[in-house]
Amino acid sequence: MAPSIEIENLVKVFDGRVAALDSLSLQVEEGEKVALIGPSGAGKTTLFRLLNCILTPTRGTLRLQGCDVTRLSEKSLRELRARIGTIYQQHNLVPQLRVAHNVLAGKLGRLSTARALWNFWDPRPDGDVVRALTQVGIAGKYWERTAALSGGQQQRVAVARALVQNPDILLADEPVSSVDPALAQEIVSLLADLAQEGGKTLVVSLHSVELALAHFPRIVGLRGGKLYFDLPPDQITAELLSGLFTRCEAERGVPERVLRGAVSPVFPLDSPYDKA
Amino acid sequence: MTAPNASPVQSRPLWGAGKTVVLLVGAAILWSYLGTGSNLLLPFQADGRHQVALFFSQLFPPNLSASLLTRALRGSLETLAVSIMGTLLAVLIGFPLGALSAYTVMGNRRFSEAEGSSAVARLWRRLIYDGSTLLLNFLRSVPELFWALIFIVAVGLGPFPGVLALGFHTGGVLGKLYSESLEALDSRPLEALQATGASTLKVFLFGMVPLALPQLLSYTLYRWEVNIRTAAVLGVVGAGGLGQDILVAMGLLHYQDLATFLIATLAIVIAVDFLSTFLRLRLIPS
Ligand SMILES: Nc1ncnc2c1ncn2[C@@H]1O[C@H](COP(=O)(O)OP(=O)(O)O)[C@@H](O)[C@H]1O
Ligand SMILES: [Mg+2]
Repeated sequence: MAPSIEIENLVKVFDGRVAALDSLSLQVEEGEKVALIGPSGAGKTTLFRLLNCILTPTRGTLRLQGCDVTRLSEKSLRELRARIGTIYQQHNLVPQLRVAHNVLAGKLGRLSTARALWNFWDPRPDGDVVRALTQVGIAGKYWERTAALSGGQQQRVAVARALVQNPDILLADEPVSSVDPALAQEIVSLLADLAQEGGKTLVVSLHSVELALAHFPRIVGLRGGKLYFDLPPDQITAELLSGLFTRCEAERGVPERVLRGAVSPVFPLDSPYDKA
Repeated sequence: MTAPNASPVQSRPLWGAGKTVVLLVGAAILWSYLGTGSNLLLPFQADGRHQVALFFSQLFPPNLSASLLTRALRGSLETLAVSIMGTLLAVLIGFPLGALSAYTVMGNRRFSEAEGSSAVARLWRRLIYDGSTLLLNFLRSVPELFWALIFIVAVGLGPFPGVLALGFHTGGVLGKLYSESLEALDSRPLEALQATGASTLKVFLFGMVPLALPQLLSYTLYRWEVNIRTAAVLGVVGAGGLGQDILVAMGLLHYQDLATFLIATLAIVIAVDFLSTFLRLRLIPS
């Protein structure tokens, strides 16, 4: 059985100058639960966007369930993406759609376009969507317009979409940093339980170290695009954590403020049309 | 040490770019004034004042006989129908072409880098993208009036060439506006949809369209407001509606009929403006 995630010397450079990931190697077995921690700018989001096949590696290898992602055709790439679910920090739902439709979108990878259109049109509640919304505790919001929901409720919708997708590998990039602590605890437990029951691989990046240590048997520390440690929670010391989170801008070569300014929230790819 | 008579402020060059521009603009205005035979002094000349006053006095009172009101009503409804059908045709032309000329739909790097598409597929996309952009530019650069003259020759007089003229020109305008809306969307929800394994078509239908819809509707309603005016004008070259009635009334020197038709035009334009604003407020949550 091939490992779920195999990363060897992975490098991701943006705009030819910002090395967001710098020769990272990591292996995650099927059914493993991993928490990813690190300061902002460490490369966590970039790693997730590589793992869900949105970005392509600059150098190095990335194999998911044994497939080398750089060698896939458009169609196999989509089939692979359908087996990988992602929950983002926020702003990843279509606010104009109803809750039911945002959750149904989890099935888009598997349905034909005609079938998907029919499901969006059909006024009868969809069994999978009802189940997922019940699991995250907002079944009453089924037909609500997504924009009308609170931030915490929207995050539950995003989790429900991932549940409906039912992926082999579940990724969550700071899924709880925009919700209150009680809900954060609840969502992280939910994700951990789901992964446990379904034998899914789970990789979650967390702002809160306590949540990571409490729910995950393996903690990966990322700093400056490099692996800082990869240990079980009982071996994580206060020194390791303070080393991971202390600021050291000179280390990165380019000041972090400048790098962050380079990222636009709308269309990160600045070319109006691929000229290549 | 500076010389005792040197001022700390330097004098400007006698002749600079700013003065050249002012002079050129002035020359262009003078040339246009003479070239068009404009006479802004008309209201101050007794002769001109008299002529203008005479024309306006002939408009009154407007002809409100039942038979003329019926004709004005029929003309108004025809102009309204031309504007609606023309805008509808414009949407049917502009939406597909606008989508195909949006790089977020047809580009080879849409909202993510990883596409895995073959060189042939990329070339096709590039051709479709460039072709639809070019076609939209062409549709847009020919004014409605020229389209109307062309279609009158092709399909004959009446409201139908008016519909085609509005549809072709406005289709080009709306296509461009639609495509810009589709390119300016927040990429984060789209990336999330793509990450579920959705194809570009599905990302378009279930992500881009709902995200862009308020803006697309708003542009469409605005162009309808423009089109009701244009539909009236197109009648003057023979494309039906109020414009055609106005042309006939002027030819026969029936100025009191003309007054009624002008009032009808005003009424229908104001009515469409109201309706469009109302729909925009109702349909598009701010
Ligand atoms: N699309 C992008 N274009 C340019 N630079 C980027 C882009 N995405 C991320 N970066 C840069 O890469 C580095 C890592 O960012 P990120 O992966 O978002 O870190 P984290 O999620 O750990 O905060 C940062 O310096 C960031 O500015
Ligand atoms: Mg991040």
